[in-house]
Amino acid sequence: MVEFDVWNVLYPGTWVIFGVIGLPIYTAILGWFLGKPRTPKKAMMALTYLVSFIVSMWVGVYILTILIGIIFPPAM
Amino acid sequence: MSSKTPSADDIVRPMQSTQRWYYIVFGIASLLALGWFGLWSIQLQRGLAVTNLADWGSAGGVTWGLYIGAFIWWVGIAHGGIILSAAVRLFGMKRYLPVARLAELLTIGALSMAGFYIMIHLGRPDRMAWSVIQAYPVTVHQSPLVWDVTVITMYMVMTLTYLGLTVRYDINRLRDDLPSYLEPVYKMATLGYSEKEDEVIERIVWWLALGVIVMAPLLLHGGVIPWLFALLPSMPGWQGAIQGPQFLTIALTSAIAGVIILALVLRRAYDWYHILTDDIIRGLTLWLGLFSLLFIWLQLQQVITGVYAAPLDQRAFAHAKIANPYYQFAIGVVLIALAYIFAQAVKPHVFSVRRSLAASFMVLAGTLTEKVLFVFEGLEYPTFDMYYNVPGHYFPSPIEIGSLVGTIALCTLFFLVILKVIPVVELHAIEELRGEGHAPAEGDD
Repeated sequence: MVEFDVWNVLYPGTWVIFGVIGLPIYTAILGWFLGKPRTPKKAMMALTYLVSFIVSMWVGVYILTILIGIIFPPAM
Repeated sequence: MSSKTPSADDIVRPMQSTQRWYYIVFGIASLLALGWFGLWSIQLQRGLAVTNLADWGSAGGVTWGLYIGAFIWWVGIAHGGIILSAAVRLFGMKRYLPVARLAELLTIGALSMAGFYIMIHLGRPDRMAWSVIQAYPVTVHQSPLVWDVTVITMYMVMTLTYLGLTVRYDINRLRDDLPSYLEPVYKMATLGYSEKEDEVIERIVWWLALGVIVMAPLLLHGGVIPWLFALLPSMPGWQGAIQGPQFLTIALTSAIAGVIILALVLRRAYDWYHILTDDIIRGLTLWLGLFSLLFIWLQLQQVITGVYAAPLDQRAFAHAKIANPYYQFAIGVVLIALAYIFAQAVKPHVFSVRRSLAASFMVLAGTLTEKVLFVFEGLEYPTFDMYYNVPGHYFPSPIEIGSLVGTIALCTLFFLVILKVIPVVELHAIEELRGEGHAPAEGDD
C-alpha cells in the first residue's frame, strides 16, 4: 500500500506563497472591508485598482514579449 | 536654509514650466536608452552568446552574472520608496512626508527596471509568456523563481494602488494648475472622487501601508529573493539563513541612498530647499548610516564564519571573496560612507549635502558590486568543484555593462515624464509644512 505523504499534495510553494506571503495582502483587503471608518464602495474601488494593475501588468507583458518574439525570431 | 514658505505653487511648478536642463537630461537619457535598446537587439538576434555568461562548469563560466546582480540591486532600490512612505503613515514620521511620494515613485521606477532585467536575462523574452505566465499554475507550487515573480507582482501592484489612491486628493485640489492636455488622465484618476472619501481613503492606504511594511522587507527582499540562492545546498556562498537579513540590509541602504540622490537633484532643479530641507537629508543620512552598519556587520559574520575553521567548501569561497579586489572596493566604499556618517553624527558641522550625496553614490556602487560578486562567485565556488581545472573566469561583457547604463537612463526618463504628470511632492506635505496639519498619520497613530 502506498503511504500518503502530505508534501506530495501540498507543495512548499502552495503554502509559502498563498499561506504565508499572501498574509499581508489578505490583511490589507480585510482591513478595507472590515476596518473603520469604512465604505464598501471605496473598499471595492481599492480592490478594483489592485486587480486592474495585476491584469494590465501581466496582459501587457504577455503581449509585449510575444511581439518581441515575433520581431526577433529564434535563430535557426 | 531657505526661509520661504512652501506653497502648492511649488509642487506644480515642474508641470507648468520646462527649463533647459530638462531637455538636456531628457536628450542624454533618451540617447543612452536607445543605445541600450540597440545593444539589446543584438542580444535578441544572437542570443545570450553575446554576454560572457556561459555554461556553468564545463564552459568555465557562470550562468548568472551581472543581469541577476543588477536585478537584485534594482529590487533593493525599489524598497526604500514605499517602505519610507509606509513608515510615514504607520509610525507618524511626518518629517519625511515631503520625500514620501518621491520614494513611492522610486519604487515603481526601480521595480520596473528589476522586472525588465528578468526579461533580459531570459534571453528570449517570449519565455515570459510561455514559461512564466502559461506555466504559472504548475510552477508556483515548487519554483522559487516563480515565487519571486509572484511577490514582485504583489509589491508592484500594492505600490501602484497606494499611489493611485493617494494622488486623488492632490489632483482634485490642484486640478486648475495642472496641464489641461492631461485632463482625460486626471479625470480617470479621480473617478468618483468626493471630499467625503478622504478619511476612508486615508484608512485604506493605512491598511495597505501595513501590508507593504511587512511584505517588502520581511517576505520579499528578506525572503523570496534570498531564497532564490539560499535554498541551493551545493553553493556554499549562497546558502544559509543569513542571506535574508544580508539582502535586506542591501535593499535598505541602496534604497535610502536612492531617495537622498533623488531628493537632492530635485531640490536643486526646482529650488525646493524649503521643502526638501537639510533636516530631511540629515535624517536620511543617519538612516543610511544605520543600515550600512548592519550591512557591514552581516558581511563580517559571513567572513569570520567562512575563514575560521569552516567546512572546506565555505572556506574556499570565503577566501576567494575577501581576496577579490572588487569585494574590497565594495566594502571599502561603504566603510568610507559610514565613517562620514559617524563623523557628522558626532560633529554636526561635518554634515554637508554634497558629502551625503557622495556617501549615497558610494553606497550604491558598493552594494551593486557586492551583489554582482555574490551572484557569480557563488556559482564559481560550488561544493563539488569538479570543473576546477576548466579555464575561464566571468567578467561582464560590454552588452551586460550597457544594460546598467540603459536601465539607469530608463529610470531617469521615467522620472522626467512623471514630473510632468503628477506632483512628486504630496500636497499633504505642503499643508504640514505650512502648519495646516492635514498629516495622514495623525488619525492612525
